[in-house]
Amino acid sequence: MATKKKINFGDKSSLIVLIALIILLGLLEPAFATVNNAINILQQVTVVAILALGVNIVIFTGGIDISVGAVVALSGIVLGKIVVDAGLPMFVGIVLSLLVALFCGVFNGVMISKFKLQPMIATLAMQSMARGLALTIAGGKTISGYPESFLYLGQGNVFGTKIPVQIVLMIALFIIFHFIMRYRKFGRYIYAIGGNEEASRLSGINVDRYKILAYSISGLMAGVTSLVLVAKLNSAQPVAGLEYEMDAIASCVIGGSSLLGGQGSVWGTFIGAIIIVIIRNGLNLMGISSNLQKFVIGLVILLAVLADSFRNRKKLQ
Amino acid sequence: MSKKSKEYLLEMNDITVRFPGVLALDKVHFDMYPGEVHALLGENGAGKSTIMKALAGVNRHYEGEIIWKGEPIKAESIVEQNERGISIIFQEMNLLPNLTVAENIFFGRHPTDSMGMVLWDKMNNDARELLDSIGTNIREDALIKDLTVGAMQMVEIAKALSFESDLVIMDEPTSALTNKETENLFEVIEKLKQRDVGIVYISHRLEEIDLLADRITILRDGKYILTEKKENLSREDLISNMVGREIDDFYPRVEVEVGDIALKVENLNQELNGLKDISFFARAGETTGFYGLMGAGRTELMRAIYGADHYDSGDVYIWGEKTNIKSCEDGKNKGIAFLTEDRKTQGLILDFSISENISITNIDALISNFKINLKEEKERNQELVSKLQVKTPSIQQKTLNLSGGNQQKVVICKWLNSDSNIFIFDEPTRGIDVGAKTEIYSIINSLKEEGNAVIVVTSELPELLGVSDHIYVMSNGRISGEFDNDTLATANQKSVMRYATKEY
Repeated sequence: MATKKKINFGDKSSLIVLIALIILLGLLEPAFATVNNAINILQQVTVVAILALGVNIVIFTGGIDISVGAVVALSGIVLGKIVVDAGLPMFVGIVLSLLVALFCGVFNGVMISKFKLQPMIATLAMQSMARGLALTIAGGKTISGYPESFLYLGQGNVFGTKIPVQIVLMIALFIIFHFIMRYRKFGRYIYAIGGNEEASRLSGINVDRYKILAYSISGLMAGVTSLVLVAKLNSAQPVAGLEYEMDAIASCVIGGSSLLGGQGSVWGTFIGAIIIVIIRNGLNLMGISSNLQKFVIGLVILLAVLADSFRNRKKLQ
Repeated sequence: MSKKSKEYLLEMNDITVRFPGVLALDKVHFDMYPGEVHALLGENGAGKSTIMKALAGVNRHYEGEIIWKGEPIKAESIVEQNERGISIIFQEMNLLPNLTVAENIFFGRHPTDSMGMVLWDKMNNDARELLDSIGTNIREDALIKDLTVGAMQMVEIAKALSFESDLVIMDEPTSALTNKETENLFEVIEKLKQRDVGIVYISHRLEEIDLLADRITILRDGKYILTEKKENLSREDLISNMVGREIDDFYPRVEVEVGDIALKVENLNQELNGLKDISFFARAGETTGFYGLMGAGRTELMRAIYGADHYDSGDVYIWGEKTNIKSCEDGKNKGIAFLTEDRKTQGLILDFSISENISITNIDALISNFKINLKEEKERNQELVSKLQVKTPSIQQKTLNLSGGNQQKVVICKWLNSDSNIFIFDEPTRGIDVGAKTEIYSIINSLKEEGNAVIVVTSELPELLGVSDHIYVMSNGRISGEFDNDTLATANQKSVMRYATKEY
């Protein structure tokens, strides 16, 4: 359980895999083991990691959210429309785009807890709806041209250092989530619901409320991810975030979160996200095509889920 | 015996079944003639279902001898026993909801042509014939999920008959049926008797036994008591032979000054589980016992009061105040602690540590400066665990690894940790060894002494009589009897059982 040790990297095997990967790639490809590449990798991790942070909460409850990639696109387009096309202040754009993402999450949560839809189906529907809206609103075009001050979020460094702002944001969010999951009632209840929903309900936990909250947070984090992504690229694209949910879910599972719920940790997911990006990065450095990379990532996810299911089978015996 | 055995359809001798730590059946005898209805009676846990599961091939880990039509056999699997002509209609429905009636009847035995294609017309026609033969007009192409529970029961019967069985085992077949459906079933049983089919009939409803049975066998505590022709047994005989379980547990008693009425229920009705016009009260400083046979509605009643299920009408008063509990959260906030019958699936989060399980009912009490004080959590929970003597090396141990008795103690710790003052224990000592039982009775007593109201739902008569200051008996979703201050002295196993078998 996440509450036992000081910092729990979920299943320690994910940390071991990460270290092994770093050594292996460092030996295979000298360019890998440089400070520049390390910062490069962490910059690439931010998007996946922040997205995974939200999805992880849903996975702790025993649910799943596959709508987040499309929600990233939708809230990015909302931002672009408000700030670039309508010329309203940046602040208004940020607030509204986060609200749209939050709303998608609330909607998922209500469908799943109050209307008893399967999480996979409810969020699949949301995936299609959000993507469809993003494409419609954008008219298929990308929206570029944001104020410098906003781009700082995705491209700038913290004043006087070489540390990118997005990395600071990511680490801050992980610390906050770690605190919430470990020290707040919310965290306990989320793990409890994933561990045994019926027992949680009979213990007086308002299961519906906490499930809606979990999906809302997942939606909101998709909104935050979208801000970082738009700031990085200086453009909002209706096809942004395609298949990001796969990377996010994979980060959680590789980091030791069980798809059955109740198990995993915030820091484990961080490790999982780094592993995903490092594999991508390493494959790039080795000159492997993006098509084949897809195959490899799929294989890694499969192995991680298999490991999870073996763990659970052992537990049942 | 050996001379007579030719005419027996079935003989079961010295059947013994062991479950981990329990002797569920101890050298039990049972026999059947062709074309008779043989009723199998006993309290909850007497071993009725256990012996029939052995016969039907559901549980092949039995010892003893089964002689079927004069030949010794070994009951290895349901399929094999079906082929021999023995079929069982389970208490729990075993039908597949998304398939049709005909598909369910012939499941795994679909008639096929030489290419292996299913002959749907033949299957449907055969199903129709079977359904007609038991006088029901359920459509053979209806989906099971669209049927009433009674209709499903009829499908189960048709399925049993499709094996051309010589012996049909019916385990509580009428528990979910309406009066009309029950009458239909009785007609079917008559028809089966005429076809020389033997029927084992398990039921708590003595009225039905009176109507149907030719012979009666009674079990008690996994032991064989007697087999007699029905005419030779009065209802009093039945009851006195069913009860009389030996009292080997110790019930420490404390007398406490009785306080106010903590929980009062008036005219509670719930159609879903057939609860009708239930009124009762539970006082502080008292243990209120609830007894009933299986399906009487005790757990369902407690769930409705706590807010786990909705009820249709009725009033609930807590400490004199009318309340409207709509969810478990409400129930808990009103001070009710509900210690469920099934600890593993409803009481504990098995992956959580002992400490985390205990905290879950009262995390707010641990929060200071916006965070859970982990040190205080540990101290508080350690204190509770020591007080209740949970045997564990550490409170960080997962509850998954604990024994039944220790798991139950953790559930109690969890609710002691809450701010509750009405404690509902549903079967608090089921599956627990004698030592831990006595400890749990002491905990119940100390709760009483501290001025809480305690409700104990139990299936064990000695336990009921041992712990209760005030007794309610349920039958068929109703309160069928009460023993209060004046009448408590008259409560004994027989008088309670008489109420528990009352017909409505």
